Amino acid sequence: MNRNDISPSGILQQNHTLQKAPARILCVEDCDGDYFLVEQYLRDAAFDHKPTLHRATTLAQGLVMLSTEDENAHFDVILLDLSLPDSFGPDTYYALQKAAPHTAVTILSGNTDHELALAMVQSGAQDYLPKDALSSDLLMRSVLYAVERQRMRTGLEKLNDKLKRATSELRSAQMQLIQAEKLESLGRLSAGVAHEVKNPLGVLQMGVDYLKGQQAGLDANGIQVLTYMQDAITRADTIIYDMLNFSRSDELEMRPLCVNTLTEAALRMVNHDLLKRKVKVITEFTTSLPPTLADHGKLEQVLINLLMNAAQAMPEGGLLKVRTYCGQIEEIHRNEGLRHMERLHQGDEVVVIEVRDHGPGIPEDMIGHIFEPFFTTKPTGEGTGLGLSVAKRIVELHSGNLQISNVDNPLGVRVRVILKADTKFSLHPEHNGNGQNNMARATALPPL
Amino acid sequence: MSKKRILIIDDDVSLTQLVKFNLEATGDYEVRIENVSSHAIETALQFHPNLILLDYIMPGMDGGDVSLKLHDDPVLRRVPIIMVTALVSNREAAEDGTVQRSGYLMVAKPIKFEKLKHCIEQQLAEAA
Repeated sequence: MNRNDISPSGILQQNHTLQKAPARILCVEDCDGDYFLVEQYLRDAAFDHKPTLHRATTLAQGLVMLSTEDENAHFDVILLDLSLPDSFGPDTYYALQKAAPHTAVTILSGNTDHELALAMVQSGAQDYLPKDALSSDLLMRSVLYAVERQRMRTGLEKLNDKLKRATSELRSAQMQLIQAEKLESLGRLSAGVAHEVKNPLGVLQMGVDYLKGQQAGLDANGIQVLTYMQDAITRADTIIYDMLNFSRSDELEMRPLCVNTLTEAALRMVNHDLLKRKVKVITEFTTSLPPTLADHGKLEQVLINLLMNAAQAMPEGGLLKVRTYCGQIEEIHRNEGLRHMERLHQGDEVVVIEVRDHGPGIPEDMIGHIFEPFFTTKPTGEGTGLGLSVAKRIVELHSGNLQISNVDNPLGVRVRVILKADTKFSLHPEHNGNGQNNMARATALPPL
Repeated sequence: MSKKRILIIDDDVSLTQLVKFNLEATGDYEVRIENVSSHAIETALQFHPNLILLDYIMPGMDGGDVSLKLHDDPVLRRVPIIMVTALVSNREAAEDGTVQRSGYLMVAKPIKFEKLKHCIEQQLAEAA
């Protein structure tokens, strides 16, 4: 058995084996009579493996014996008399507990104060036995149970530490995500501000240039003023350039690729998870699709996110349909907020990756929020709410469109990643079926 | 030599006015301004420009839409277009101040008038 196995099942296994292991017992007892009695009881007890008994007559001596670095000299259980020549009452226990926090302590007392007994057990003592009621059987059971309970407690403490570490790491990861989102927002803000500032700068530049052309009417100071203004415009333009560079930190590595190859790669990545979730995938790939200019890694990240969302929408498993096809944009519903130079236009030829699940769909009151950062319909811990907002951003960086809608018969969600077909490039035949263009059979897509 | 006609299509009133002042100050150009992009084609058909300075980001029809409409017209499709836009930066521009992107010839905002003038002259010479 692995000594580091602190899972609940590991702890149970430890219990089973430890009952058979000989225990090392330290009896901290100044009274010879009481010590010999304990020694006698233990000798008579029916242990599978007789424990070895060691004695300290004072707290100080006990502390010395517990402070050894030698692993073989560690004790499994301490039988403790609270009234010693150098210590008395609960303080005796606290001192020992501090010195050996992972060793089981059973208190042997001539005092039958129930309140004290309860207080000691609540403080971590495994048992509180009155000396006048001791017997071989009672002592044996107390020792065995104390050892086992202490092991369990130590195991739980370790598990708890691990849980605390995991929680702390999770909190840290969440903070990083929040920070990442803040940076992204800052990037967007910078880009927006930079853009808005360029227009007034353009006005200033043209104004300065006009006045420079009229220099005949200006005195020396006027000409100096124009020079200062020109310097300020140049400086502001440089600052804007740097801000835009920050906001473009997520630029893409574009190359022509086939969405079939891309989708297959994404499916391979999530195959194990889908099997585990009893999700059956049906693929319907159109061969000889035109290529699209895209960043393979980033789009694969988008698809993995969409596939996992679809799988999570079907907790009992189900059917996941993945299609690829090409089409033509019939109509554009203009989004004034989307100002991208190379966005999709009416009549554009596009390639589409469609992921269709058969889950319950997205509640209508939530569907308008699904692209908002940190919005999630998943149970706590299952989603950060960033996946779709990032996916949308990546697809839009490709000048594409990410559509998510509820569908009926049967109920579910359909997601479409729509990317502009790039007819300028041709792919190697092995990447794309027989290489023949089937745009003639292109589907007419509904309005974007 | 007759003056070349330049049409400026941009929603920024101040900017278009100042570009007009600068161009007219050279004595070489006749300039018309259109600040409403949806009127751009009508104005262009009336004015018969030799060259169009076109902003990209405008409310309603943007520069891309206007350019497509211009391209659809049998007369206007031959008029050279320079996109004057904040979408590109001076640092990414070539020596002559221009950036070729998405099939458009672009110059960055803010652009110095001398560079803009040079670019206009070059385009007019190529179109002639």
